[in-house]
Amino acid sequence: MMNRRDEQEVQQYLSALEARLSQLPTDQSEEILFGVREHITEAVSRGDRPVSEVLASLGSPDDVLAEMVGLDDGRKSGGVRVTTTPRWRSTSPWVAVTVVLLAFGGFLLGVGWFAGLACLWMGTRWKTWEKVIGTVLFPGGVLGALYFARLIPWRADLAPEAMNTGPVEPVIPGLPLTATILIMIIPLIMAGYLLVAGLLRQPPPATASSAALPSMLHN
Amino acid sequence: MEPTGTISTNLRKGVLEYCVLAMIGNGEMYGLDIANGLHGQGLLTSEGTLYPLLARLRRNGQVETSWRESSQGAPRRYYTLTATGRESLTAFSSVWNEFHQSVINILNSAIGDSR
Repeated sequence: MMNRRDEQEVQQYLSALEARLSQLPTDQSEEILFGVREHITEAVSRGDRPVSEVLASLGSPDDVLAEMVGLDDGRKSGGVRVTTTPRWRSTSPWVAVTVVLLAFGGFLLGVGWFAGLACLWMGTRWKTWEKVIGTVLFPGGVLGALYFARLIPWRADLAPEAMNTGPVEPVIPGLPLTATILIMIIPLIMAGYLLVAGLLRQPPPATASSAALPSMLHN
Repeated sequence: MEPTGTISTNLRKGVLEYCVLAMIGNGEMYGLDIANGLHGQGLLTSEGTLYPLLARLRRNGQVETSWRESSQGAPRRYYTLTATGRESLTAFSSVWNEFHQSVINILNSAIGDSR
């Protein structure tokens, strides 16, 4: 039975592995993840090794991904073409810069948000569905949300039949301001989620795997 | 001089999948037990690397998986060889015996010449 700290350690390892395998076809990454998860569960239930030792014996997520690369290079059997991503796309600074650009990059003549979008899809710390939601919530970030909120006809005087009348009160008093603020919060919430998710999915420290077991690909 | 670690790694790459097939043999095995067996023989350093290999063997039709109820809770997945996997293992055994003998002969003759 695992204590809370062990569970966190296992979840951290599996999250890092999932992020590294995200460039593979979904069915392949899920099959590998399932096998590793089952391995950990059974090894822990047998109780003859501590969780830290079980995780160290598995090797780093990079080792597991590199095994796929080795299978593809060695056999050329038409298997998946896996590229090893540069390490800097897996770093915490990359996560932070991405999140800032997505939220506030719209203020940089709009170009900053597109840069953030590129960083999001090039990053390895997020799952595909997180990248999709990060893209649609919200185009242009905070500035884009503000522009979208301004487009909505909160007031009756923007309706065609009200064109020839004088100033009209909002449909609901205070609605435009309140709704605008709420809409602008959406990209901030999404940015916060991407930041936390990206930072939590850290790969295990290199010293742990190299101290326990050498990588199979020291070529 | 080439490090012995590199030599071992290169040799393991060539034989590991056949060793997995041999471990499973005519029975059925659980992933953790395959990993422990290979690790015990020094053929698998990072146990997590077994699972991409098992996935590939399954996609190539050399192994198949089945589920068994477990007393510990969730059903467990077991691996068995298919007919294709058994043929592959038989072919490897034949090739390996000849290959192994050839290498032994060359090494022995090289050692004999150096005396």
